[in-house]
Amino acid sequence: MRNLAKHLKSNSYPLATIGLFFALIPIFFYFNLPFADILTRIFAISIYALSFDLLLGYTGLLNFGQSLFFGMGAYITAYTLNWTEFNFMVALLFSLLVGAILGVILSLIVRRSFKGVPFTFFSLAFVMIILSMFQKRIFRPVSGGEGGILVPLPGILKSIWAIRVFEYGFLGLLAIGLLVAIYKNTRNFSLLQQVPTMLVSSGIIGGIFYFATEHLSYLESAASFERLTANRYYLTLSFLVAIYFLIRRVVSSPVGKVWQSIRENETRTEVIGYNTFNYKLLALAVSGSIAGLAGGLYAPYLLTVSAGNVFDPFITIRALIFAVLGGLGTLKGAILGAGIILLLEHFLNPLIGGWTSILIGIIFIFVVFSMPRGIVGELTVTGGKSFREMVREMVS
Amino acid sequence: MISTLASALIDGLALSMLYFMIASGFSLIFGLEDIVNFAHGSFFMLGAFVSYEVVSYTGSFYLGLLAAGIAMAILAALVESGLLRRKFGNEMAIIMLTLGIMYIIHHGALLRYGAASSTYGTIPSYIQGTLKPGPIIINKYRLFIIVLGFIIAGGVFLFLNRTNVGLIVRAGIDDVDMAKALGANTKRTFTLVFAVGSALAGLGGAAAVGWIYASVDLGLNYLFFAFAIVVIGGLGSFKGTFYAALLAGIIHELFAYYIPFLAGPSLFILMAAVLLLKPEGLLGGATQ
Amino acid sequence: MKNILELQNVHVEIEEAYVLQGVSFQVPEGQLVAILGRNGAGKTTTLESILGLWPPFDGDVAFKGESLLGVPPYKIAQKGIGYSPDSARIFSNLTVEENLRMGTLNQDSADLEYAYELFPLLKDHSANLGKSLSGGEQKLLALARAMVDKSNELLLIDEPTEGLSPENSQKVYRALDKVKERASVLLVADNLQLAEKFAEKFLVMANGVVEEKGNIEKLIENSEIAEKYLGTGVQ
Repeated sequence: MRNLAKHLKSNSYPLATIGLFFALIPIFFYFNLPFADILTRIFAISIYALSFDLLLGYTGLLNFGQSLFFGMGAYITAYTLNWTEFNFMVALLFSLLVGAILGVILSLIVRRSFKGVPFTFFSLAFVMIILSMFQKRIFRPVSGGEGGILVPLPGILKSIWAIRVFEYGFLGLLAIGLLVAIYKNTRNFSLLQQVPTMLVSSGIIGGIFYFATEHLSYLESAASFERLTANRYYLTLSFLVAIYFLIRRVVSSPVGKVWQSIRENETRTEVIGYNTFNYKLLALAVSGSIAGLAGGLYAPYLLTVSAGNVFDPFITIRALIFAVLGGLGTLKGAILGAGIILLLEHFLNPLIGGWTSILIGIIFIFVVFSMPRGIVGELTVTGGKSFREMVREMVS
Repeated sequence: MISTLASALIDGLALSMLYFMIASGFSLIFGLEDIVNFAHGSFFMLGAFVSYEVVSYTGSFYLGLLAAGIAMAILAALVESGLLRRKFGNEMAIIMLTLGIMYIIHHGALLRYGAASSTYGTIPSYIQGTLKPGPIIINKYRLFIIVLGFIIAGGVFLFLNRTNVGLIVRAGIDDVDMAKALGANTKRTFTLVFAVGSALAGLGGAAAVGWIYASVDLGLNYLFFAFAIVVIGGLGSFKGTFYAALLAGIIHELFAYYIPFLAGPSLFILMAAVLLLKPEGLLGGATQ
Repeated sequence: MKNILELQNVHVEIEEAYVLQGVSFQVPEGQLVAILGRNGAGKTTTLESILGLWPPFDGDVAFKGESLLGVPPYKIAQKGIGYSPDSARIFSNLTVEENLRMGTLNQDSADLEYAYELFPLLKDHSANLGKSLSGGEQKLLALARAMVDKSNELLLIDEPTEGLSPENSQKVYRALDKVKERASVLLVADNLQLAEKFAEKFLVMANGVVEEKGNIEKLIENSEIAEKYLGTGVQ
């Protein structure tokens, strides 16, 4: 209970509520399918960028073969939906597990050059071998060849009850968030002030719920692709939120501290008595599982999974750009970077076409040049802990 | 039988020379300042298109090659002195900058050329067609690439071993701080190496147009080939790069002729094997 | 007497370590100044900060009356300063001859004869790769590389006889004798005898500051100084 109270007191709570509110807007109040879809894509890619930031921003490992996890995750989900009776959630679990396993395998193979440029090169070789094998004719049964394999639409994305769960769930969270926020801000008010505030706020919440029922009855009668869009949006958003908080938890745990000290100076971390290999293996496995999950979530979005579109090193390069633009080692930065760039592409592509990418490249170089910590990093300069301080924290 | 083998070897040698032209500059740049230049493959690709354009416009094949080399040298010198130099010592920032440049060149080329592949409309007649000594058939253009590659390799070798700047380059690869402490202007030397290395990449791209065609894909592909070659040959070792290119090119083509599905991954398998078994490179370590 | 080198209150930080905490001393022209002190006292860092490899964040380094602050290392070296580091740091993939040529970058044409005169054994190895030499020979090569350019007016020499056999040490002594005639020297001495044999002046460093300095006679006469700062590790 005390823990909960502490949580409620913290700043992040009202922020999360506001975030939740905005997250519901695209589908809920402003029913715009293409825009909801672009946000869905941002959420899925953000999860991938988070996995990348976890590895590069916190552990200092630049994995150029990160798309191996992503691609395998996408393939595994496609296989599961195609060839088994399991549902989408189980498929995602498989994708996650395969990502973790590949992370462990890669760590074990690469153990002799598990840092810096050699690791980057090796991880690239790993994904390039798989990519070029998958493109060969004899691997066609598993790779689907040029055209790739079709991803059947998971039932959950079409179902009405899923929408209900998502909508009432999110709305419930939103209502609780609003109530708590209002309660916190009116605690010191006199009764005379409190009563009208409560009335107004319950009015707002009631209105939202009324709107929700209207909206749901519309969705129930709507075309299935509209339900699909809404469901995919909610599902991906839920995963992004869950994974964001999970990673934030992990990187501030003792394990996360060791990761960061490996990033700063691996030799010294070893000297203090940590087996850095185990920690790097763990980082790669966690990052791999998240990237695998991102691939799985992305698969229904892609409709077909082919080696060319899921293993492409350009996916990794883009994730790198997202994470660096937003700020390495900030987590929020990876999401912000993905959001900024994908939205820029969404809005500018119809206007200036391919020039958008060139503009993005220029923005990226500008940020690297003048904002070395990335956007989030520069906005929230905490002074940065010195290595010594980190070690002291770890030892104590 | 013998003719297939001969063709595989000729193709292999020609591919080796393309590998060498992309990897030698990459290796020297990495050796001197520990810079992983992600834009290096883009210089190869851009060289291919520059040459293609110049040849289409002027009709002169050699002018195209020359233009590719010079244009890439100038572009690289600008990139180095305008951007990279200000972030020296910050490995991550340099990687990001070269990555950004690669991103821009890649998308710029996509804008102009899309997914099309292009080849030269005209090349001199003496490098067209084939030679047929006995049962063997030799493609003359591939022979030309081999000759060009060996000439460039010889030139770079002489530059490194017979000139003072070459001496400073090799000393800098060993210990750049010590070279500075002895009065070597390693920054200026590096700009030169960066420009020359990129010119070699551009020239390689130009040579590739007449065989494997110019396309945007060349950029990333040849960047990764360069990674693989320098790993196989040992980071920063010039001779190692040359022999690794020979080995990898010939193995690739032997596979392509005899076990096709292994040809694509062969280079990366070789690279992975070297990283696992002999991280200092096949020719690194004991003998230089 | 004119000073060829003058350090004033030099402060250097390496990563997070505050290595030099206000070092001041002079090297008079034509003299040999020996730096003594235990490991970690900041002797090597002093030489490296003179060369600009670790630029001071405070204080001043002046060579022939000209400040070296903000001057890149290669330009400092080109002003006529030769350097022989403690761990040799020869170019292992260059031949002996090429290593020596790296010491003559300031000259229009490489004249290596002087180096071979100082260390005749290098001539026999001139075409061998640096890494094929023994540890002691590498050390001699590093010294030769610092000394080969006769136009250098100041030599920074770091622990020249550290780990050398008695025969090789003798060779170093002979070379130092010859070099002293034409150049000023700042020498990090790995033992007391080396300082007493060649130095006109000495300074003792501890914990990043100069604790004692003066004419070498002062050191020879006051055995307490040696005992206090150098301990029994220095015979």
